[in-house]
Amino acid sequence: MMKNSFFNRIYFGFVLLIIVILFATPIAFVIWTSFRSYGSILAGQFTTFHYSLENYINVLFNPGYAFTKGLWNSLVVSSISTLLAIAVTIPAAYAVARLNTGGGSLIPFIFSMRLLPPIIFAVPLFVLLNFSGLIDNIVGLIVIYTTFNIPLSFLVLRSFVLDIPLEIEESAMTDGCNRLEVLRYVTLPLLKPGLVAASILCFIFTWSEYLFALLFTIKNAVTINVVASQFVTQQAIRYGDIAAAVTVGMIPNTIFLLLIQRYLVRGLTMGALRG
Amino acid sequence: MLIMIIGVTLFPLIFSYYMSAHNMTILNFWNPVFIGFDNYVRVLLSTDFWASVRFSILFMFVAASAELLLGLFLSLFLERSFRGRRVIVSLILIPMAIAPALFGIMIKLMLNEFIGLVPFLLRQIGVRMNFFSDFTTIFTVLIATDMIQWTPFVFIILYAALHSLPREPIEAAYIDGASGWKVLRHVKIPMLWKTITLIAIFRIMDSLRTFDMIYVLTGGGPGISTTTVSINIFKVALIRGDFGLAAASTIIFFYLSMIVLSFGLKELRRAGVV
Repeated sequence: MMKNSFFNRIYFGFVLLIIVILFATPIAFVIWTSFRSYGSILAGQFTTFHYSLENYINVLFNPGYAFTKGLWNSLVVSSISTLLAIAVTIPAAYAVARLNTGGGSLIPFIFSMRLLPPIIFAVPLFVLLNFSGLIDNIVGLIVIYTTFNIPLSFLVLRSFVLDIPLEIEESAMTDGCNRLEVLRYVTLPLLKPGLVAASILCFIFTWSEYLFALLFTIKNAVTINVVASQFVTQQAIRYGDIAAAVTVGMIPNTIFLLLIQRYLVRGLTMGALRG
Repeated sequence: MLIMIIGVTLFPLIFSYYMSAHNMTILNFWNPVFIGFDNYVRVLLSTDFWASVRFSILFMFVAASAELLLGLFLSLFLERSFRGRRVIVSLILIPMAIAPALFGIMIKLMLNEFIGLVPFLLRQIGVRMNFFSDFTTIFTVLIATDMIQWTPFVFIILYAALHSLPREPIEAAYIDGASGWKVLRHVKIPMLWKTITLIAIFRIMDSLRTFDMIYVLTGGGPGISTTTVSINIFKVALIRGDFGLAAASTIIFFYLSMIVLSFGLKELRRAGVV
């Protein structure tokens, strides 16, 4: 293996430094910019520091921005569509994992739903939502996000069900439980980490989604990503405000991602790898 | 649940066949006129559409392979344990958590000629450049952005897989005198092959669909040079308001993606993943 000589350690530290710079700079820069005052940013100098919270105050309280609306919409849409998807997929994941409902072609089909480009569904969905008057309505977004969360939540939960030893359920059955009681009193409590992981993954996905949010909203149902990407005011581009909006927008996902690091591999591969 | 999935995914697909056979625009949205295959002819003859297909495929190949290579390198580099490794790993993961649209905005700020960090640093060494002027520079920016955001995806899966590899074959190879490179080439990579296939399929399909980050950074421009198929369809539908044409493009793109995906699914089935 590698010798732990002096030069080796220098090389190792150097590469490590480059890795950190590469992956952390964009984020650090935006957070830093968000705390600088308007004048300080526009001066274009990186040597003058004047910190203030004015960008955050602007973004959150200036009535000209739809930011708080976007933040609220994102929270509502992400939470509700996550909960709905989880509620719907618990029985489905259990049935497919234990009773093999749907046979061998169901899993590849659901896998394809995740892998196909979402634009394929976007145009007809736009027209259908328009017919039903659900454009620019958070109900429309919730329905669509719930559906697109189902494959993820289903496959992740299924992999967690498969991890629960069959013997536990069998012994409950011999004690006289029926299938539903087994699911309710034995499997569900054991599935708790899976439920947390699947919910968080669904939330992250919904929170990050941009294409549908951009297509299906105009003014009332805009999500945080749409608002942030259209953040240009009439007078001047307020870079600090953009930076503050982006910083607020990335907080929930970053926290959630770090919380479920253990299950990340499973979630990213839709339960195909256990990690 | 199945009804809902079919309602929101299968039904739209069928509905887009109906739309694609009609002249359906903003103007005659409520009473479309049947025009048969005209929309398909228009898509197939459209240079814009094929330019976007070409760009999507180029972006897919370059981004996916660059991310796989860098991700593999990172996971091997961080394989050995050292103090602070957990922190570094978490740090690398963070870009993946950020919405691609927001990440695009971040990069846009970083490269902004007035307030950006990168132009500022370049000015210090006497270089002035606009990152959004010619195709090569923009393409490099887009690939680099995609790499910073999605190499963590490749990295964390390979990193976890490397750590769950059985130690015996690797140690045996070292004891037999194999070099680090040979162990990687003949022991580790073969054992990781199934995982690498899976990651490659995810990255290929995900970069084929790219919309958010490129749309935020360049809007598909300059001209249409960075328009992916997703951006092309989005623009045809929403900006030109031609839903029939957009639906026909959608269906053609669906079959193109299915060709790529069916290769992927075949590989996955052979590897025993699905």
